[in-house]
Amino acid sequence: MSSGKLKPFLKPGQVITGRWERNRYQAVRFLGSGGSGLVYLVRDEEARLRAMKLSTDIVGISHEHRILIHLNGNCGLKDSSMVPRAYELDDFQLGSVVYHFLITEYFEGKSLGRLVGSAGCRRALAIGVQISRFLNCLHKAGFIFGDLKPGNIILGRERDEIHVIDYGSVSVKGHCLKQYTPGYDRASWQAGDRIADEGYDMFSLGMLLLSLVLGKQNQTGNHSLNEVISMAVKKVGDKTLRNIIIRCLKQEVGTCFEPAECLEVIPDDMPGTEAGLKVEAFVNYIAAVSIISFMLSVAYYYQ
Amino acid sequence: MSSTNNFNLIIVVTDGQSNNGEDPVRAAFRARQAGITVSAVGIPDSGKLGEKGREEVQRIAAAGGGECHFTAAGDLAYTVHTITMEAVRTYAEHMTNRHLRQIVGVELKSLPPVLRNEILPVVGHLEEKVPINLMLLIDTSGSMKHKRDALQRSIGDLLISLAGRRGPVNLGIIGFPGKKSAADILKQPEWDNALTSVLLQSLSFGGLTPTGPAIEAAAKALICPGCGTGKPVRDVI
Repeated sequence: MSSGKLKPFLKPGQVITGRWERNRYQAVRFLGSGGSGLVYLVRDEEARLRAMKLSTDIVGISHEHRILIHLNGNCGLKDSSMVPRAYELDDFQLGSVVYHFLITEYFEGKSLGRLVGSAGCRRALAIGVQISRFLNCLHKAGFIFGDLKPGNIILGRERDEIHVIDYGSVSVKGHCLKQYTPGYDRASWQAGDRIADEGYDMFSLGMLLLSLVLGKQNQTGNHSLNEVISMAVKKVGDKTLRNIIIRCLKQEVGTCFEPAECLEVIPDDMPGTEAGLKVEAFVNYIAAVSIISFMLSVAYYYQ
Repeated sequence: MSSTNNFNLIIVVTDGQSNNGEDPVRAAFRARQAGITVSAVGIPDSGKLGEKGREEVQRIAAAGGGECHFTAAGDLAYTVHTITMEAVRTYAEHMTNRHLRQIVGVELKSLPPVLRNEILPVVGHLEEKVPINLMLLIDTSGSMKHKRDALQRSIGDLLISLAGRRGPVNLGIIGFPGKKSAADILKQPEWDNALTSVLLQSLSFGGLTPTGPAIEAAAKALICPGCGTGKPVRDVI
């Protein structure tokens, strides 16, 4: 796991050839350092743009490959672009060092990290709905994401569609989480342990949404979760978003994005803001229906 | 499983250079020879660490076959978690490679990626279940005193992380210098993991930085938990 210290070394135009499959990739530019390695934009032999993650951590990168293949094949998100398609895992040698590289789909866009503190409630809500769908799907497959934070998500250029790009922290449900980021980690906020469960991801999602609208919250000795929740109550203007954030932070699992069906009514191609409106409309609709049915039952009772 | 399959790890947390007793790099090397991994965390914020201190921290980890990180006191909990998980991962990978060599005569990296993916769950399984004996070596020289809160949080945090694993964990905490000797062993590895804050309160901050003797004491406690502190580790090996 020491590959976090790797420095970018591929030059634009440099070609590398996989040791096993013999496929060639030409480096276009350096994209950034991920949790367990370097990420480059590359072109394959047919000049298609791909993302290449490069690492010396054989276990970490193989793990990521395995998770992606699993999600590509089994997840209900098959047709969505939230999970990048994994193409291949191969090695190449440079000097005496063997590097492992993972080729995945490349998404244009910007890191969600750039939106921290500056997203409006509707936009945050639209993003939250998508992340929630992604998590639901991952959870159904028996995995917990772990290190959910804005930096691991790419926001599409045209519409606010999300692409989750780093799977190094994904863990089998019930195992202990090995990677986390203190601000989004429930254990750092004294709100639970680091055993992988749905509540862990929901808590991170709550912090993520809060950070999008109010800026990143950092845990220090005197800044408690209760204070953060009271701040959310006061400062998050949109009622739906506020309730979602609070339910997520309290890890009321399964009810964070209630009702679950409302997620299904939002088509994939819905632009972000409208998706947010749709959710609110649906939540209002559900509220109205439940009030009416409650009144009906009361009326029935006193009949 | 025999005790040789336990993962023995020492993590040195220091903000300065050793200035008492034997060379910590040699002590780390000897611990490594006895099957113990030694990792090190340097906290440069008091300015006491300096270039030489940084180098020493790096050399301790290199000689001990472990990882080396530098961090601010505020991020100590995260760093200690990460360095521990890294060490466990490396050990699981090492054990898997050893088994592979014995059975088929190859290592993970000489297998094609498709086959690696088949073996990967074995690494994950070991990572999750291998019994860990961990000795946390805390520099208690005067400049560490105001980092007591950060230390306490780190230990609490580490216990949360380790408690999530399926395998057993024994955590020992050693303060160096100790009240009377070079190192006070506050918790032997075989004791149960409770109430670190109470333990930490009993540490007295001040005095020299005998990093080498502390590593020896930790290694000795790991190899031979009931031996007391009388003999240096090289006699036990």
